[in-house]
Amino acid sequence: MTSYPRHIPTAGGTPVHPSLLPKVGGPAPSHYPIANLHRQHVDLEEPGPDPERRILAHDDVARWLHSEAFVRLLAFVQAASHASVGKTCTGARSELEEAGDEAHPAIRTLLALLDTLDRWIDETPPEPQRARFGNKAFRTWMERLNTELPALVDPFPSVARLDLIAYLSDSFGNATRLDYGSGHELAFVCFLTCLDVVRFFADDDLSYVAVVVFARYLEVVRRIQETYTLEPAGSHGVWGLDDFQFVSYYWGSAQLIDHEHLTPRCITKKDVVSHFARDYMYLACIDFIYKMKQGPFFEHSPMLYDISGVPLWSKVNSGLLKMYIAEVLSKFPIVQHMKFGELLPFRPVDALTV
Amino acid sequence: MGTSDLDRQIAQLRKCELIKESEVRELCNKAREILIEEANVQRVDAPVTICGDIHGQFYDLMELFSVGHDCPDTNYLFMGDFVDRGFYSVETFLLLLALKVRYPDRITLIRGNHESRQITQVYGFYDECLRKYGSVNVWRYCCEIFDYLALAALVDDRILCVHGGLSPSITTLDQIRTIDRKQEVPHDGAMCDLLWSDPEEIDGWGVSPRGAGYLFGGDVVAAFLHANNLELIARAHQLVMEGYKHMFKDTVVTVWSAPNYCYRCGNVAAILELDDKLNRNFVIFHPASQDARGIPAKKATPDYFL
Repeated sequence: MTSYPRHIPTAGGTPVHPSLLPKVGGPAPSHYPIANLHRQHVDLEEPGPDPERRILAHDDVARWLHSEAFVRLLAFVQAASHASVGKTCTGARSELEEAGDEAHPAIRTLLALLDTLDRWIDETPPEPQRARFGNKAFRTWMERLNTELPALVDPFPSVARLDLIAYLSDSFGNATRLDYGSGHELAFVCFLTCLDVVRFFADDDLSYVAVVVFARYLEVVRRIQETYTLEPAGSHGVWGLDDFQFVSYYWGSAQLIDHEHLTPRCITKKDVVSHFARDYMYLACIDFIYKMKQGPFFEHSPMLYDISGVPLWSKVNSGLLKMYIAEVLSKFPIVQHMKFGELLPFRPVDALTV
Repeated sequence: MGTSDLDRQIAQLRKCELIKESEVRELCNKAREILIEEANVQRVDAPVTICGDIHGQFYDLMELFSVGHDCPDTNYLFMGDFVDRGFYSVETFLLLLALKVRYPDRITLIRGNHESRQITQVYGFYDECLRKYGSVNVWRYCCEIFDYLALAALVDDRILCVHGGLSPSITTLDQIRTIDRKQEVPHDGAMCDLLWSDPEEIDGWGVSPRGAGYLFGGDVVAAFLHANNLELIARAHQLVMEGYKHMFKDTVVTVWSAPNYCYRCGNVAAILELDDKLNRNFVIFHPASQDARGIPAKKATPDYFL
């Protein structure tokens, strides 16, 4: 039986109460928030080994939850959330443009990469023949990704090369099954975490990582999902947040914290969602659901519908992080596919040094 | 529990109404007595209608019974994955189980990879039981029943029905018969493979991207059919846009019975009707119309957000 972390380590200060407890027969998750972690950086002189799977049996999940990789990932994910509070995607894009071509090179490099991948979709149209479900042209797109990856990661720190290739190759879906799921989204978040760990992002880049870079990633994967009719990989159905994404909602909810007019309830209004989708990732995701699913919203997306009843975006935000840890990061069927190298190491975290 | 009690429970479940926890316990006790007598490869006589994944899509199961006609007027064989993902895994599974207890020779239930303690704790059935009954007891009773479900079915000694597919550890049906099936689905090995594997356009065996089971090619199927004097492997486990899909010159067919999967996939569903001469007829069906679908009970704010 999976055991959840007994504590999430904190950077000095008071120890944290368990925010999650084992599910079977155990009490409900506590109200205590997850501690704020500091972003982790390393200065590697040499590249580490090619990342490998390490979660091979259910017992390994607990090891993952107590690993350095987990802390580094969580710290980065939290930091990107904090840096997104109150920022719109459109506003952030304008800021970038105004700052000039020389500013925020890290962000621009990532956008160029995503633009390239987007262009490949145009160059690899879906095949007309009827396969089981997903379109086989996606295999062609993925082959191109895997062939070009070594060149694609050239602009990034060479010490992270193997890690970046490993995570990027898993970020867009599975070529054999023609599916996409939260594990693929997680791989992309790992990719971004690795870049942060090797100090690719300047501190003032952080506010663009989620609302510009990740927002662009979402545009690309939504196109891929739609164009190649990818299956929802391991969807939790009505018991999950979304067939494909999760972090998008977490980072997206941060954008809406303290918004004057848009409350969590607004997602039930299709026209409001559609109007503000370009500004807010959370709403863009809901907009996509309205586009792709049939029937009443409360029937096909009950979790998101229930969350719309939460009074504050800040509560949505903190709740989603807990839910992400419990429903995605702690689940063997998803994390069994994760890879670990030197930038996201499987070794146990020393809580005192965090 | 008499026949009239069972009939009442079936009538209730057909209206998508829950039966009491104590009734579930009794139903599962009765079901266990029946299932324990079934073989790992349960023999089934044609005519029979073979169905794929349901995943808690209760109203679409009603649609299936509408096009395929009710049990026991039609004999049915369900190839697993009754639970998870949908709103109504509890009602779906309990109805099928009640029908099994009421008409044991008219309906056969074999195990899917979702009939598992570990999987149901991830994909929704556990959460649903907790929400609908306020305790995990129903989940526990059902998981125990899962352990008793047959691993495969054999129709007239010619058509093998299994949820996933083949295993590199299995070349003969007798090898399936020797498995000790009364356990949680293992992480690997023959029993796991039967519930997790997928056919693929490859030669021989391949690593499965699912992380369990294998991919198997047409040559593997041909050898297996020949060695066991079979004509077809019917299986489920994979979403099919058109409800059913043949592979390897019609020696494997995937049958998928959950229409408009996840409310997004826009797929139709299918059932495979076999007549007494094993002639195959596929019947396609669509999701139940909106007004035929019940309104799921509104849930409280998830604990994470309190």
